[in-house]
Amino acid sequence: MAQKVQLERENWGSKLGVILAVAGSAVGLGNFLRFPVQAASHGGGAFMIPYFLAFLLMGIPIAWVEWTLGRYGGRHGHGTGPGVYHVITGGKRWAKYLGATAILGPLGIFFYYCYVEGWTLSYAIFSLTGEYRQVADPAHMSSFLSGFQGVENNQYFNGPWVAYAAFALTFVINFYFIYRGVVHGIERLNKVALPLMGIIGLMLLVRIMTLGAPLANQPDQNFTNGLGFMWNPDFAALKDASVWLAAAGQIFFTLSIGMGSMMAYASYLRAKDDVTLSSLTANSTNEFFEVIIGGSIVIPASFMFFGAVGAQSVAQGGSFNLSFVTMPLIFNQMGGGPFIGCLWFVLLFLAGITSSVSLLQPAITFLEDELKWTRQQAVVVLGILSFLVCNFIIFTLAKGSMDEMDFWAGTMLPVWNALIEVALFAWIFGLVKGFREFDLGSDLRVPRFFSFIIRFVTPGFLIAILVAWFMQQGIPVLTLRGVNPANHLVIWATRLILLGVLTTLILLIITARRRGRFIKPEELR
Amino acid sequence: MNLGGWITIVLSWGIIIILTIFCYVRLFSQKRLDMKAPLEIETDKS
Repeated sequence: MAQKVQLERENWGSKLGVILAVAGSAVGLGNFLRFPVQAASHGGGAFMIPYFLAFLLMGIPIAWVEWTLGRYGGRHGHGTGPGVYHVITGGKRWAKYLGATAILGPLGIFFYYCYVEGWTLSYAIFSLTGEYRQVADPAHMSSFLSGFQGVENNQYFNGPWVAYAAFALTFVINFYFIYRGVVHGIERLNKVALPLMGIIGLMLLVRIMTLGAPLANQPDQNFTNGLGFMWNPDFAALKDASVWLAAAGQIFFTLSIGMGSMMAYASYLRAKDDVTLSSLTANSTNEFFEVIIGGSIVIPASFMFFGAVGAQSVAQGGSFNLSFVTMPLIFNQMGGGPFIGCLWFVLLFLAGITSSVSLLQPAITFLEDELKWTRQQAVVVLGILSFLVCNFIIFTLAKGSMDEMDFWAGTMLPVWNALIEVALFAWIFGLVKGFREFDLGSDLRVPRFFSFIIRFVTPGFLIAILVAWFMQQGIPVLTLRGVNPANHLVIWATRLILLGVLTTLILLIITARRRGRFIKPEELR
Repeated sequence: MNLGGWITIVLSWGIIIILTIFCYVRLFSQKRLDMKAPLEIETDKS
């Protein structure tokens, strides 16, 4: 029966295709913006010690688990949380409902990510047309960004219409690739986008390396010292627990763990396709983009043009400021700035789109697998829902809707989802069966000491992150501490939207169960 | 950049480059996956 179900599902065209798709999903804006900021502000080179430990103890094992669960679920005709959790728990009644958050998380991120992706497309064009060429200082560049976002009307923009047009185009491109399907859409996109990102990233790296000391009166502000600003280790920082937490969080975000995308992608593997080497290859590709390219562009460039104090304040200003305020100012002062600026924003756009299509895939897979909708039906319904919510985010951006959506969908839910996956895999599915699944068709045998890591260390890491973030950010966010009362309505509306989508997903799971879409426990054994 | 910085960057880049090369070399040196052993070939039983 499992074989029969599998025949109805699409399969990846090639092993490299799925690896590039998963790597494309993982390589996002955070690789080029979040990682350097995190490293520079958490001990520089010393940050890499907890970073690599988290990669080994949390990133690699969870990725193996997600790939394996996806392939296992795919064999039974399920590619997302509800169906996969149902089959790995032997048909426990409650398990499928836990999976609803594994679809809600990525969808919630898509609701705002698509808009940000549109910004990168706009700025790529602005770089060539010289739109921000005359803006000379951070205050005015921030004003340019605010005007572009529609947060304020100013001399640069009168409303968010340019950003809206870019969003609309980006939205259509995303759904075009999703509509084309796994092989003809996502795989083809990533086979072109990933190598292109590699080439553009290396071109940018070479350009930054060959700038020398761009300010004639500041000979010490050169590339080597810029790297030093980013990489000189401050081992005293390792005594601070927040540095370890930041490193674990970075690994978590960069590998797209707990997003559900990896599981959905892996469900389109064949029954005996390798998961262990493929997963590790996708992870190492992501690390190449993050540490080697991401770690060598923005912070060293900021140091070269603004000095140590300026780079420090840039690092504290957050990722959006770095990308849309600092980098344009740098391009304005650089020889060949318009072209290099365009390359930078195209790189971000490609990183964004390969991630955003993967954020939509779990919902599409769910609707196809559990409700037996055609792709056309799934794309139309999801398109309408996403369009409505994206519009809400766009027009309430200034009132904090994007930050609220990002906190729940982009910060808390992925950790929660990963914890559920690992707990079910290690404690209910069982590691004997789990390692048998790892080894099935494997091109790389998973060392047996990972059994202990997956059973105890990884869940421990995840619980620590979840508790710490909830204490540090969750309580202030829940109680709206420090939020302007004028924004409360929008914040609550954002929460209601998320709750509404979650309720709808649960109702759809109930509908699927009533239609007998979840295989009965007896048939599983 | 101080000596610690150079050591960190060389080690970090080294680990990632070696891991990436290892993975891709191993990936491309695998046998073709669409080849089936004789017992796995499906035959018409009708």
